[in-house]
Amino acid sequence: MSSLKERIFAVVKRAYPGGEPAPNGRLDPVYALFRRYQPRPAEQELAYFTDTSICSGCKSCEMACKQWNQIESEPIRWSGDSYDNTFDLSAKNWRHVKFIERFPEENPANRPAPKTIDGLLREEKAGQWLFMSDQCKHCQTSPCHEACPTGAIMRNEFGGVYYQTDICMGCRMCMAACPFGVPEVSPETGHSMKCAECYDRLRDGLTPACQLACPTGAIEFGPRETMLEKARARMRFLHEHGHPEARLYGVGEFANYSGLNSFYLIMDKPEVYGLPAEPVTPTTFMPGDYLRGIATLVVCAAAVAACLMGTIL
Amino acid sequence: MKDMTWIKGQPSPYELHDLTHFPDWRGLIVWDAFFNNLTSGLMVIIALTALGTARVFGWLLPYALILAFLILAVDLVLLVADLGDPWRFLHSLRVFRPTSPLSVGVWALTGYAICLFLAILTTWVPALFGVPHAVGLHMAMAARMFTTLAALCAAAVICYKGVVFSCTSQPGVKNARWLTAFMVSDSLLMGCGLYMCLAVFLGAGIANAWLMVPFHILLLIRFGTFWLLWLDVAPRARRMHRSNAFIFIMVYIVGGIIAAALACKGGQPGILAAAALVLITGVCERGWIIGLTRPL
Repeated sequence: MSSLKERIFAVVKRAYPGGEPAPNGRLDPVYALFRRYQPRPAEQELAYFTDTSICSGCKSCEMACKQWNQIESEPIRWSGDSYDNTFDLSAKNWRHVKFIERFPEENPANRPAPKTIDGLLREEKAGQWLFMSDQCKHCQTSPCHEACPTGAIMRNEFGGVYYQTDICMGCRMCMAACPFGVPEVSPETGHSMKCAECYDRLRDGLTPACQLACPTGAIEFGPRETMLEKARARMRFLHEHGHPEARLYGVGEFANYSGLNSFYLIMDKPEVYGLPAEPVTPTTFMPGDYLRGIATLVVCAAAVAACLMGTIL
Repeated sequence: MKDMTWIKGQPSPYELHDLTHFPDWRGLIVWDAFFNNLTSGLMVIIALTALGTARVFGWLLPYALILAFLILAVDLVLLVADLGDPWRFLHSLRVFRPTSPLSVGVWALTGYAICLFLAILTTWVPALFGVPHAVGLHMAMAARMFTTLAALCAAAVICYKGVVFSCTSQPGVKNARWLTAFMVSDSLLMGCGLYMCLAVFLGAGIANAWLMVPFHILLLIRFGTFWLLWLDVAPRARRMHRSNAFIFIMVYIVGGIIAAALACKGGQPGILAAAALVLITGVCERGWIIGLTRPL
């Protein structure tokens, strides 16, 4: 067992010292409908680190996700965009491998193959083929969590954002709030769905299915600090080996958005991968929006009242 | 990035389009926004008139409350019917989450519905069944109290509706900082228009005379807030509707305001026409604003 896995197990064991958590049996007064359990205390944050520079676009992560979570496949449609026929993250696609082809019309053939890895890395590129395995970002301050009116969306003890589909009423506010376009209401069930961070596997001390299935090690999962160290080390390596375009996405806080618990090493600007360069937390504007509304209400009501009392006339 | 000519002019398939999921806001949501604003705007106007100028509007109050309640019932049905799993609506009453505009709205609507129902009960029971004088006095007091409370809840209902759209990541409305202000002014205008219609049907000409000036002032305020809203959403509107958007919107809104203002001069049919114009404009505006979130 790798040391990283041991560290993940250590986090999980701290959360569940006695094994599977038992309901605490507390009942809120008045009515059984209002019964709820106390959330588990926060543990160390776990995070995904996806290194797109070594992603091979094999879609093993997509398959593993569907298999573990028992999500049925959608009918095949052809996007016309390289090998991407998944189209988008959705209620049935919690993982989405993106393909970005960038090749010239004429590709120089019959060139001699480099003899070393360094030679391969320094080789003048005639084209680019970018892959990215995308998923829910499990934002540290998640707009979907803030927008949910039922409490169906919760933050689990590992810092992941988890949707309780047995509570969700399908209001679609999480869809509207997410700046990354992750959650979607399933047309079949009417409930919102997205990556669950394999919460059930985590509780049993297993790593997420997508991470386990990734053949190149592009998807890593573990304590956030460890993942940050790996991400920074990998970026340094790429910079030193002729890839100054490598950059990290979601590691730190954005100007108007929190950091992510699923961050990426990407080889071009975020927009190329369909990521917002500067996501914004929608609730940032809430006080101002309410205030403008209330001020308008006061002005209108005062005008009407003044007219009715005859002070204007 | 190195300067590679083959990259230029070749955006990736994930660029240049909306990143967010479209939450399928159309149809029911537009009508929900309309009826929500209509009933809450009407309620605020009812409270302002009945409590401020009771001698003129007092006898209209029971009928106006019933009208507000009927519209509220339609709105609640639309609100629940639009959910992916309508039977789970009760789950939103298990918690109160101030960071969620919809949660604020659900509780405001609940408070509004309860207070309005009690206001109707305390207003109509003495009138229909007759009660002893002392009880009648207490019920009249209760009616005033519940009407006031219903109006306060209605004010919260008006305010949440704009925020529920503007505090999202949806293109078109995410930058609409004046959407709530616009919806507030428009809902009061629609409420005023509907109240004038009711006064026409009940033969309360004096009430309409009192409401005429507030109606015109609200028309002006609505124009101002719409202008501010337009400045927020213009970039998206131009992308969606091409270059004609500005001219179309201005002709539509300015024309609507002038027509409504002029129609008021035409006696009772004119008042009905002005109110109808304001209500139709209200539906169209909501459809247009919510439509800005549609994928390009």
